[in-house]
Amino acid sequence: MSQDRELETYLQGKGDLSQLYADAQKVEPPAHLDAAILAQAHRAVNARPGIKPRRRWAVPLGMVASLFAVVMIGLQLPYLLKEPVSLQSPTEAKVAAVMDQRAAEPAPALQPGERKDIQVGNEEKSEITGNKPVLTEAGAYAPPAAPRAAAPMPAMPAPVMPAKRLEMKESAAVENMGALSREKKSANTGESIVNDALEQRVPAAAVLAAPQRAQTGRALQEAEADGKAPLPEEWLMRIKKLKQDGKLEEAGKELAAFKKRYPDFPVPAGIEVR
Amino acid sequence: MREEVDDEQLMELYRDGDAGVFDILYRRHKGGLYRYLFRLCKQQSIADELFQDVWSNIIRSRERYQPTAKFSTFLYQVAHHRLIDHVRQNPEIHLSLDAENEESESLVEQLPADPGGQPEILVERKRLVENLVNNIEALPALQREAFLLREEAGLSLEEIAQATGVTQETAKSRLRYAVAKLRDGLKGLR
Repeated sequence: MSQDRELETYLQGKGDLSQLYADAQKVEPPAHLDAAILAQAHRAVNARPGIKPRRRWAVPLGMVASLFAVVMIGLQLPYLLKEPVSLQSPTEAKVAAVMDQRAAEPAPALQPGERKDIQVGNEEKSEITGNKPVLTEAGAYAPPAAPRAAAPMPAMPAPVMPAKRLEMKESAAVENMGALSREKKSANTGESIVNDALEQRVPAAAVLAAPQRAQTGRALQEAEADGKAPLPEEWLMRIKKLKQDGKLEEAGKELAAFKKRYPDFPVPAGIEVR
Repeated sequence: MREEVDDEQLMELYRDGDAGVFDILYRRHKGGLYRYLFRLCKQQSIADELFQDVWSNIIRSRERYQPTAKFSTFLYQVAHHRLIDHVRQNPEIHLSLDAENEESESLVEQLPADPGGQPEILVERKRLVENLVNNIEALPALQREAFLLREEAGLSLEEIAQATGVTQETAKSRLRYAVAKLRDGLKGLR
């Protein structure tokens, strides 16, 4: 118990132990230790500013940049995987897509005054979505167009077309003319590109396929197919020769047949049989 | 101005990059810490090495410092662990608690607190101080450590327990035996 009392007295600072100890020789650390420790302390703090600011923003910025890159790649990945690699220029690809769609569609005959709505907007979409199915005029889904090779648009022979190429039916000619005229009205850039291309592929020779010209062509084809009716010029030369030979009756019959066959073909005055 | 700031605030300032406050902190604690180490290991070269290690540890761990306890408790806790490491590497230092429970009477209390310049009393007091220092060095290491923590660092029983990693009762017991032995040593001088 006395030890407890001594301890209490000592802890209260009333004893002389602490006073005697305070008078003891105060050993101090050597000066070189003081200098070394203080220098180390200052170096440690002064070395921080070069490192700490970089750590403050470099790591978060790096993380944000990485996250942004991952998100952007993730958003583009479906398109990168689906789109085939095309060597076509943008214009060529646009024209090719429209032409393919036109080829896949049926060509219904238009009644006089009937309006045909060409959904150029859809064509634009088909250009963007690549081979995705597109809505046709009838509202049904058309199969995706096969990718075209990168080839320039073939130059069509201009105004003169071979007779066989004039097989275009009257209704198809009217449809083309109607479509072209409507497409020209559009102000859309994509539409103008498409229209230019269409005008190249269907030149003036096709546009001028009027009903009478179509009939003439058909008559010539039929005559040639039968092997009976020669060309009008030859036919007229033969009629002229018959007349010169004095075979007026035969010449008259031939002329009547000619006129029946080619009613609009101009007959020279010297061939007319009176 | 800064001299009036307490240790914990100085350490926080140092942690936040104010190198100048470390000088104040160091000046306040360098003597006590050095004597604590010197009187425990009894060799100046070892005390120097341990002293520098302790402060280096404080400097390195500044960013983890949280003022949950007194800075002096934190400082001597670091010193205690460094000392334990040293003792483990040097088994000749015997850290055992030799309990003695003898009653003693204080003769020191009979000495005047202020010698007052009288030559005989000054000589007598000097003899008592030398004897006290010798008795401190003769104490078992753990009792000596408890006494030095009280005298050099001014720690309370609770803080001594915290710094040395023992219960408060253990710290109290060590300090009680230390005080009793030192008083006995002084009583023998009479």
